[in-house]
Amino acid sequence: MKKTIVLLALGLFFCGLAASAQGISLSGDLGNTSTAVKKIMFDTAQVKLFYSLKFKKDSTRNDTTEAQTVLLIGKTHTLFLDYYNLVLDSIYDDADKTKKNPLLIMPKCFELFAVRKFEMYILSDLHNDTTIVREDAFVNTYEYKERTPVIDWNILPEDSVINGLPCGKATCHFRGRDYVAWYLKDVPLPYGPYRFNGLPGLIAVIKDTKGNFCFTLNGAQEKPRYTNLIYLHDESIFFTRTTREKARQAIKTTYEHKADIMLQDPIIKISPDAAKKMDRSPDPYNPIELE
Amino acid sequence: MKKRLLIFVLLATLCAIQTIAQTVSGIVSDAASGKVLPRATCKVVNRGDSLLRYCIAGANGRFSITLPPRAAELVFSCMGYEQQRITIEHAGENMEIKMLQTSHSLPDVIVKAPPITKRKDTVDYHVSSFVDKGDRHLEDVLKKMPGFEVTPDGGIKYQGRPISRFNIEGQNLLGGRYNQATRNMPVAAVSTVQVMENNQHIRALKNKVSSEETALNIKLKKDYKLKPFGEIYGGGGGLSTFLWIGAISMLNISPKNQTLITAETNNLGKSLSGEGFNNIDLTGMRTSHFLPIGMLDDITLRLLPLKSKRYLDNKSYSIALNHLFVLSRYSNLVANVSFVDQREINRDSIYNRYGGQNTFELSETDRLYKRIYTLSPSVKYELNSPKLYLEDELKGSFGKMEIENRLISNATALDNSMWRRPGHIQNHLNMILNTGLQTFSIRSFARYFFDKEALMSPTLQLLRHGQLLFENKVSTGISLFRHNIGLEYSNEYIRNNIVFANRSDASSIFTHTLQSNYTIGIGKSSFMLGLPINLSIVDLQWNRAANGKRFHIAPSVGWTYLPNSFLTIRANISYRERAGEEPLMSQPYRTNYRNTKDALNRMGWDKIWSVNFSMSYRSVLHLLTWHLNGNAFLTKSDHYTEFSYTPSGTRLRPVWQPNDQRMFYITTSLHKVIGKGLNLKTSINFNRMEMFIAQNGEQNIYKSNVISSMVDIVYANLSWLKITWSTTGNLSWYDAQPKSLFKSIYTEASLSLYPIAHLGIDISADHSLQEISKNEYRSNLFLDFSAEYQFSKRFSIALTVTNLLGRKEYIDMNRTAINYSYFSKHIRGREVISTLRFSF
Repeated sequence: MKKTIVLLALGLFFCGLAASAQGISLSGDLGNTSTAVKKIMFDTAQVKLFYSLKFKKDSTRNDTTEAQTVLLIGKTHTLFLDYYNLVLDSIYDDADKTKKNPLLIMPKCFELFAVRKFEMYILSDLHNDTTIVREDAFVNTYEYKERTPVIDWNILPEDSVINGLPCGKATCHFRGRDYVAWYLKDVPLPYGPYRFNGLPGLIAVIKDTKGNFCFTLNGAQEKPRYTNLIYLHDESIFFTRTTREKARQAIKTTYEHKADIMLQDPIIKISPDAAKKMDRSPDPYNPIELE
Repeated sequence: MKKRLLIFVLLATLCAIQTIAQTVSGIVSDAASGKVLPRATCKVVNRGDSLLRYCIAGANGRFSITLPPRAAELVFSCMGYEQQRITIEHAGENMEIKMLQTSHSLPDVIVKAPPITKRKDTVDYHVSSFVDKGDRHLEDVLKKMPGFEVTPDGGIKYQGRPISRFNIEGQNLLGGRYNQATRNMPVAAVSTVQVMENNQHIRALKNKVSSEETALNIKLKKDYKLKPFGEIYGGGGGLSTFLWIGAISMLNISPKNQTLITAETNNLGKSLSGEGFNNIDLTGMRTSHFLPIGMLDDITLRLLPLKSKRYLDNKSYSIALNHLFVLSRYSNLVANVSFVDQREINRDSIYNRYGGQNTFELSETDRLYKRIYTLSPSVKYELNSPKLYLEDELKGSFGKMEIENRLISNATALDNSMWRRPGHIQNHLNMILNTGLQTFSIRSFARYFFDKEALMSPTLQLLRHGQLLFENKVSTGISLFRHNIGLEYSNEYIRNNIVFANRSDASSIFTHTLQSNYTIGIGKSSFMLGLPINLSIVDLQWNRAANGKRFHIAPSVGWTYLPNSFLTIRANISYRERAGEEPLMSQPYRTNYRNTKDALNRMGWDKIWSVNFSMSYRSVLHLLTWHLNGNAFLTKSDHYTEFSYTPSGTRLRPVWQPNDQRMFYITTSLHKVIGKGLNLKTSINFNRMEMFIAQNGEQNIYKSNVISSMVDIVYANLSWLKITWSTTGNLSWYDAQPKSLFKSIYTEASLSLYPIAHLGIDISADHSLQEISKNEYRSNLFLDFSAEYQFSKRFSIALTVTNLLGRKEYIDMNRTAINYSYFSKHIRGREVISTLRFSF
């Protein structure tokens, strides 16, 4: 059933994008009624940290998009993702557990699809210092694994107080962008949003110097009771495991040729008339990692 | 050669430094279990505790770091463990750092939460989004939250309606006296203000009986739970006389107990008695009958648009203790006691012109000394389980009041002295039983009020007033045609006994009411129909001819429409009849040195028609609330009071003639938060009243109109500046009296500067501009200054100068129908006081 919801969501998303509704049809097995999410479990979070993210989808424009992200810190793993992905999964699981009619949860799911803005999953293995990155690009999900990058922080002798808590300042250069970070001196968690870690305190605010990305800590829970599992979804038919370079190239291509990719999709059928009306211009591409 | 030598020396120095630089290493583990602690932080700090270098321990708990010059200490920290410091002298290789577990948890690290979040009927206001510099207590922030309004006595209104319940961490410690908390609780302790609309707090009625009540729940930050917190401040000063202020407030919130202790004293003009302080029930009364007011009056209680700190010479002391015991998951016991001792002196001078066929002029110069003691204890038990709700509150008050007014009345020196000893004791019981299909409710209220009043001078007069009040109510709710119908029987017994001049006048009214309420929900609308049928039996032992029975009905229709989560529309139409509350007596009595009142010798009745309409719009996304409220009343009375002002005295006499009073009131308000730094509130209202007045041989209907508009702005967008501005403009006139149009403007403004860290400077102004007579204006301006320096997290010191301009009197005018009064009030002079504040 989850697949049904995903396919319907894709259909609606597509309606909004370019074509008229009459031009779209869906194919595939919609009969599976289980809404539970198949998971690969890694850990349970001891601490849950919320970060709001303001970012520019298009670096040439001033308007920003806001996302609510969450960092789950376990004993062996950390996971960073869009908060609403966690909520969506919990709704699927609950509907499965209570044998709820999947149609009843669809309106809520569509609402949540609309507010999801951060399309990456970052799972770090603290014992082996490796990181798995998953990124959704339109229909497909790409995954790659690499050594957890060691960030060369430059601690500055500047202090500040944010919300009554003493903070220190640090800067770094990470994959094509320069960042300024404020970390909480009295919270000895060497973690932060996205892939930023290794400071002598929890990162409260981190932003790049050109104003494209800004993460701000906006909530914390210790020993969270709900949505506390650190997991990744089991691989789906839209899943591709590859290297970082190939994944980045594929994602970039997706942004540049979204319409063509849709037309080539084996599941989504688009009528020739609708295809003619589609907007073929590339989507703006402003990845957080430039290098 | 020289160059080679230099290079050699440099290399040698570098080698030497390399050999001196020490590397320390080791493993970090849990002292109790011995398990390694991955990701612990190891910091190298200098003597000033500045960070020089750091490393993060690996997954195996191992760390290694080279010590830089000026290294003094190693600091190890890990979440959930106590920080450990090791001096460099004790550092080395293969160190074993054993960390001790601690209960320390994550601090409240909300850096920037969304200001408001909404979930079903609960709206969370995240306090950090509304706090500006200079905000000290919860009330300061509540005033800025969209949808909230804080009345001068500390009452909280949400969307124009008073809140019904004020909880702290889910427990109702203070009942209706919640202003003790909002005015004393440090805003730094509060994380969230939760508003629960349509809150049915009685579990036995959940999902059975809808409620339009709004409850507030204050959620504290973690650091403020389980340990006492609060503040102590005190100070002294003065230019001519010694001035003082001192206060302590302490709050302790734990899962099993809640305690709030407040104590205060001052002689700075801040009144601690009366309804503004601890005594009023802000969440609504247990009964619709107020406590009787004194039959004697002390003349100078004129309401001024002026803060008491400007004119009141006082010595005030108060203490209030509140404690809540959580007895079980569903029950608690709350004990409150408060004591106030207030001594005050009021000085003013008044010219009154009373119109009518014969005009009378009265000039009075007053110096009124008043001393009031009040002790108010209460105990309340509450059981709120899904099947049974039981609440019992025992409450009382015991007081004494001494009043002495040395006045000059139309050039005659007089002494108007009196005393009162009022008190009351009351018990309120409320029980609701949920049997699954039906609910049964019993409500009982009993109160005995006693008062002894004496006019000592210029003539001696002794009065004793006792009042016994019973109210009982039983009700049940059943389902009819899928909608809920409520059936209720209630009775009310009021017996007054007034002993005066060796005569005892007893009177009573016993009212039985049978009431049905029917609620129908259709789509997004719900309709409430009510039809109480009343039978009242009046018994005057000294005037049997006035005894009798009276049937009356009080139908009402209500409509509530909730089309979406933004908009609420309500309308209500009702009719009722009400017995008068004035004391019934067989003989006239004096209320002060010149007034004589002929009391009612039979029960007076009012017939009241009322229409109410309200509309509220709230957009959480845009931090915008808008509210419109309109009310219209028509009151038909069977009597009125005729006033007769003569040189020998004033006579108040009831006349048994029917007369009408009409009132129309409409108000609209808008509150918008523009970003974090700009808060805008504005409102406009119109009030029209048609009133029958009989005075000095003249009888007429006077139609008064008042338009009032208010703009309130808080600007706090810059870290070093905060500006507040509030202006209210009034326009008042009487129909058919073109010369009766008068204007007034009242402004309060403050400028707060924060030029350097920890220093705040405030300059505030109160200004009023009133039209005293046609096109002649009187301006009253007061300026205050204060500076506060926060020299540590807990301590601050402040210097305050009030009335910088040294004003000595306040002039105002008041015009009501055919009366005119012009008065001047003695003002406290320029004063300087310094205070020390300690927060814990």
